[in-house]
Amino acid sequence: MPKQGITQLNSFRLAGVVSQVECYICGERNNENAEKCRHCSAPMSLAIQAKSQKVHPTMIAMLGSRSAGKTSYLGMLIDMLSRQNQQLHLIANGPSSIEIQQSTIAALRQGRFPETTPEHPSSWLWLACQVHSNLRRKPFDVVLPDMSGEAVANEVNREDECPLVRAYLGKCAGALIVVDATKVLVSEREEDFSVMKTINYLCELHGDQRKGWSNRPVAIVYTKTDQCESCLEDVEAFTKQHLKRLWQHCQDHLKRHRFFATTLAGACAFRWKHGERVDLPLRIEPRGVIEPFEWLLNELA
Amino acid sequence: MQVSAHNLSFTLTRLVGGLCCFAGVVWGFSAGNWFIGVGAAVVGLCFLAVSTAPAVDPVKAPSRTSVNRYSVGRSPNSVHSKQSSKDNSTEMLVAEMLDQGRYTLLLRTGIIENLSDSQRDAAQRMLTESMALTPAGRVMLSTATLAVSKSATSLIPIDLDATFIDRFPISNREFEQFVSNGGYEQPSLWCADIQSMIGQFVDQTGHPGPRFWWNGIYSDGEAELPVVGVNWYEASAYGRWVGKRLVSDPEWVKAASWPLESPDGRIIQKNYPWGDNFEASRANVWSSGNHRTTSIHRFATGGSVGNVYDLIGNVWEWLHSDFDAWDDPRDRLATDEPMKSLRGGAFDTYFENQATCNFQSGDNPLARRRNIGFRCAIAASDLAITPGHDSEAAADSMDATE
Repeated sequence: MPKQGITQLNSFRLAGVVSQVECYICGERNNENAEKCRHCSAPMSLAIQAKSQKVHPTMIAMLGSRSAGKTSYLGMLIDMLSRQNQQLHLIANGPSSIEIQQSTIAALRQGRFPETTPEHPSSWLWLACQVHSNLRRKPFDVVLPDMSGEAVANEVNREDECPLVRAYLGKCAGALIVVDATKVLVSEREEDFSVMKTINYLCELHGDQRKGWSNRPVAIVYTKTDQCESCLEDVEAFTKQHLKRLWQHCQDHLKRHRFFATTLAGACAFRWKHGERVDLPLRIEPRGVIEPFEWLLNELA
Repeated sequence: MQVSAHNLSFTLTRLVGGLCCFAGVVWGFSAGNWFIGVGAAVVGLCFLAVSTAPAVDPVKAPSRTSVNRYSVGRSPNSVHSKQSSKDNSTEMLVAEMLDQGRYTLLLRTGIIENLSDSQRDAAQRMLTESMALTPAGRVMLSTATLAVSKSATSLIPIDLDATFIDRFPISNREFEQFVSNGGYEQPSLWCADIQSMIGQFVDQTGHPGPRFWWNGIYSDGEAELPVVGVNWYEASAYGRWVGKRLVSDPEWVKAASWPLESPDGRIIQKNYPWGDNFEASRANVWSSGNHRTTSIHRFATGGSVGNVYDLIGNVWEWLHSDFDAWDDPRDRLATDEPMKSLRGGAFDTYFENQATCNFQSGDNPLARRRNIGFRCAIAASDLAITPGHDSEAAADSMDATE
């Protein structure tokens, strides 16, 4: 009996190796039972779902520098859209999607922001969800990975640093570029150049006038605007005043773009931890969270 | 026009007087008719005397009471009519103050003795209707650090005297009384360190008033919404104008959680004014689905034991205390600017655990946000209320408890 058992297990493993599946993001071949692509670390469930159920989700990217608030924004977006059943409703699929929501909400509820996303793509959480919108007759699938700001910055600055970022952005239908509004006020030039570099990278990645990034929708989302009320009041005037070069760059390179202001916290305090300032939200009152995502989906409809 | 005509007549009188005086003396003496010269000089001096007599300057617009006093003083009538005019003006003043909601000013020692019985009753009735008496006793106060750490030191016992606290947050209608009666133009109501900035506290059209008003008035249908878009200084100035002050942290927590002291000395406090669990039907927070401020009278079931309403949700409330006033100095949170304390949560508060009796937040005292309002309080010892009234208010509280 034990011998038979071993034989069966080996044959199962062999079958997995023989039958291979192409990664949905980078196109490289992987064992059928692999959880993540061994080349780019994208979840293989996307490929399996596409193959077996013929589901081709709309892929959206969320980009931005480190600690810009991408994870907080994404977690809150999932929670808000899954709580209210109005024009736009979201049903998160899979443990990874719910993990983003759970970790963000738990952290915010306890008066802190979620941990920074690790740099290596194998640790990233992916949002896979079904979206119900009044503008579309049928629900549709959306995928949005919680990418690390450092990994994206490395890829933008030194191409081919992160194959997942490159492959994913090549396939994306639209993007949310997150900008920390408080950093804009402190160090305008850095944020200006950082976002411009990202836009340039996207346009070079796929330069086709009709199908390339210049014609794909891009929402530029300012976060932490509770500390920058002028941005909340008139986001375009804020951009023209503080990031004039970025404003012009967007006009020149992106045909479909819009600026948004969002905030999760009403006010913040901070503590110093290992020489680094750690912001602590004093209360959570989300504002302008759904609008950028809704605009993006409408543009993609 | 009236002002210029008045000034012109004074100038002409002086001119005629001066000229008569000068011409008379010169002509009289030069012509040898010295008596004509003396006569002309006397007439001229009379003109000058009349023109320099004290007069009321119409440029300085007198208040309603000062006009009355002036007319009484010049009246040739008897002492009796003077007294009746004075009574009328006092009555008018008292009625006006009651209309403006400034009844606590009338109930102070030195003023209450001058009121008639009906006036005193009216003021006391307003006090009972508008404010709840929180009895003296101990409250466990949560501090700012409770939001980010659950340490036991985040709760400290505070002993309080009896305090009257507004039953509702200040509404747009109430705050409009302050604005239209020149509250923003009375420096004595404002903190000294903010005097130079009062001119910046304007509405959408540049008129003095809350940030989201237009032309110095709130929008139609918003009279009973809590006033928002006012900073801590505007809230404090309003408090002074009505003869009250902002609520302190321990007073607010006590009015909301209504603590009970067990025989062994333990303090039992509720999480919410109505009990220990959140109920969306009793307060206006994010999960209630309104996503904007609602009438201060809407959530009648959200009151505390002492019948203080709208403490949880709708708008955060500016409190008198500094944000970190009650924290251990070694454990204080750092902030970019000094903050004042906020409590209660607002219509956009996402988590119910941040809209409890214990949760404290804070903000820059100059912030004029769409979700921050306030209410006022006054120590019971500051009022010279009659003995019956005190027990009446306490009985009210007892009824509410039952």
